[in-house]
Amino acid sequence: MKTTDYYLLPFHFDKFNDKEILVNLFGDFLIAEQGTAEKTVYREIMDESQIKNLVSNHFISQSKYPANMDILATRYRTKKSFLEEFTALHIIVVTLNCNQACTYCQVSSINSTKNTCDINWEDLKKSVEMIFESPSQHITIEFQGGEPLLAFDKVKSAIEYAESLNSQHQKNITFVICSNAIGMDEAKLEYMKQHHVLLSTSLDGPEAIHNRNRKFHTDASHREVIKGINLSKSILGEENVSALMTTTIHSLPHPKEIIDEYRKQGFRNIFFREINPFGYAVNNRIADYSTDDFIRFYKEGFEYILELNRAGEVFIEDYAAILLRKILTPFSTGFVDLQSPAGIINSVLVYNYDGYVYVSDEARMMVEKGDHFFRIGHVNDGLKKIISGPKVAEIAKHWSNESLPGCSDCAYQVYCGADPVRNYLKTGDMEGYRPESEFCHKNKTLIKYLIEKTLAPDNYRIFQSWLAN
Amino acid sequence: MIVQVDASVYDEAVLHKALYWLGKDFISEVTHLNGTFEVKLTKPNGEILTKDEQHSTEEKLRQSLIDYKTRSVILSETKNVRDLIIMKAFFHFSDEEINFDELLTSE
Repeated sequence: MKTTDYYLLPFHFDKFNDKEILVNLFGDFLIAEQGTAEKTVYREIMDESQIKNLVSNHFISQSKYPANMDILATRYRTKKSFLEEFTALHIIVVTLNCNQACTYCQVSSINSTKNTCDINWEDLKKSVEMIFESPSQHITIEFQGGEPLLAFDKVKSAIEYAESLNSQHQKNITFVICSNAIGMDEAKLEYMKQHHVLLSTSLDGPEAIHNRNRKFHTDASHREVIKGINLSKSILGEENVSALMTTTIHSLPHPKEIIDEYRKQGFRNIFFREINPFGYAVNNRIADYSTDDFIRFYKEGFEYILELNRAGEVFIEDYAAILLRKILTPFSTGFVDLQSPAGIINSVLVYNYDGYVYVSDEARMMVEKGDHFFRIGHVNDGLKKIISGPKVAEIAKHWSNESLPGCSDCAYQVYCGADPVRNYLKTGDMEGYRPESEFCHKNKTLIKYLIEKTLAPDNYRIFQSWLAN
Repeated sequence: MIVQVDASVYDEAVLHKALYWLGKDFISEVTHLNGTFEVKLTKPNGEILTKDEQHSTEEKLRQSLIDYKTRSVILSETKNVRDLIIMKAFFHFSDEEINFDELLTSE
């Protein structure tokens, strides 16, 4: 084959420090000299070994239609495998009541002395029935609030109804309760154990940070959650209890202390989660930091995590693990924020306490501010009517980064996702505006950072161990 | 500041993609005159650009035009193969029979 005698395959490129990165349709990347993409396109590459490299990595082909087209199609399908079964994650908001007053609460929880915001039995029953309409064989039913332990009778009813329906449907169901763990007791945990329910709780870091973010009627918020975590681990087993942290302005100077708190509590992983700058978080100025502030916090914490791993302790940062799975393996992930078509509807639906169905947690938060834009129906409508309705059709026009301005040509498109809800909240339309998008800035920066990290062999070995974990 | 762009080298879609990323800092107006795009860039607050800022902005725009033109060539040259890969990837979800051999030979 002459060096100029080849056909292009779909790929994107970007400047990468003093080099250039080429990323193909299947997520393979190549770091090369600047100008490589241009030279490849205009057939100016004279180096035969470079041609072979581009062919073997699926950036160019020796024939107009590559002989291994079936393999390439399979690889593409694998990257989009989250679409195959349709919605798998179903969030039921059993109550808005809560016993905490977290400074960043985005769902406008209300004081626990009121009981008017629990889901009623009819809507709960219809929610569960609608969940079983999803073609997905693997279903996760997640109970959220408010604080779901304050409506534990509703949680139990939903679990038992789902189990009874499942004797006919035979799906693989995972139940998760998202709880602050305050008010957790042995009776509830024994029930959870009996019905294989996982606990996902919140731990923002050491006592001072946690108590400042997650206010309780006394200053015992941290003590109570640790008590709840320990009790839960002892009954459910360590592997069935997880924790999430939210980064507030108070967290920013303390990434190492937060990681050490997770280690102290026996966790082997942490998810550095940026605050959602909506709802009470904005009023309380607790989200008053920039994406660059978060990225600095993230990188400082991540370097510390790499140090721990180099010293022999396996400790994983979950957001990196999600991105690395997309960057280093042929597979996709179930993480809804980084999917295209977007995770909303395709992977997650939210059944609110009032029976209305929303596309995400942020979408139901908007309702408390009077904006019903992402309300796509009521549980009485049934899944088929909702997902074939005009609102979902409208959302679908904006849910693929392959067709969004600024994303359609992005080198990191295959690793990233689309988020019409966040776009709408920031700009007033679902398309958004990439030059000012914090989502774009954060993900592009972190993806580039992680790719750079993979180039060092010792990091690469660490990342492979995370992905095998 | 005003930048002249040769319309015989860069089409309008390429120009607008390049200008999209300058939209955070500039208001752009594009006029097409006698085979040239005249691009007028102004700061939203009306601030006058220094010579250095004008130079770096023009350099950024010109590099961006080269990159987006390269991307547009990739997109147009790979459209068919991309469509075929995606069709093959998902055809088992379709009720219709697709004859891929026929599609390949019809190109």
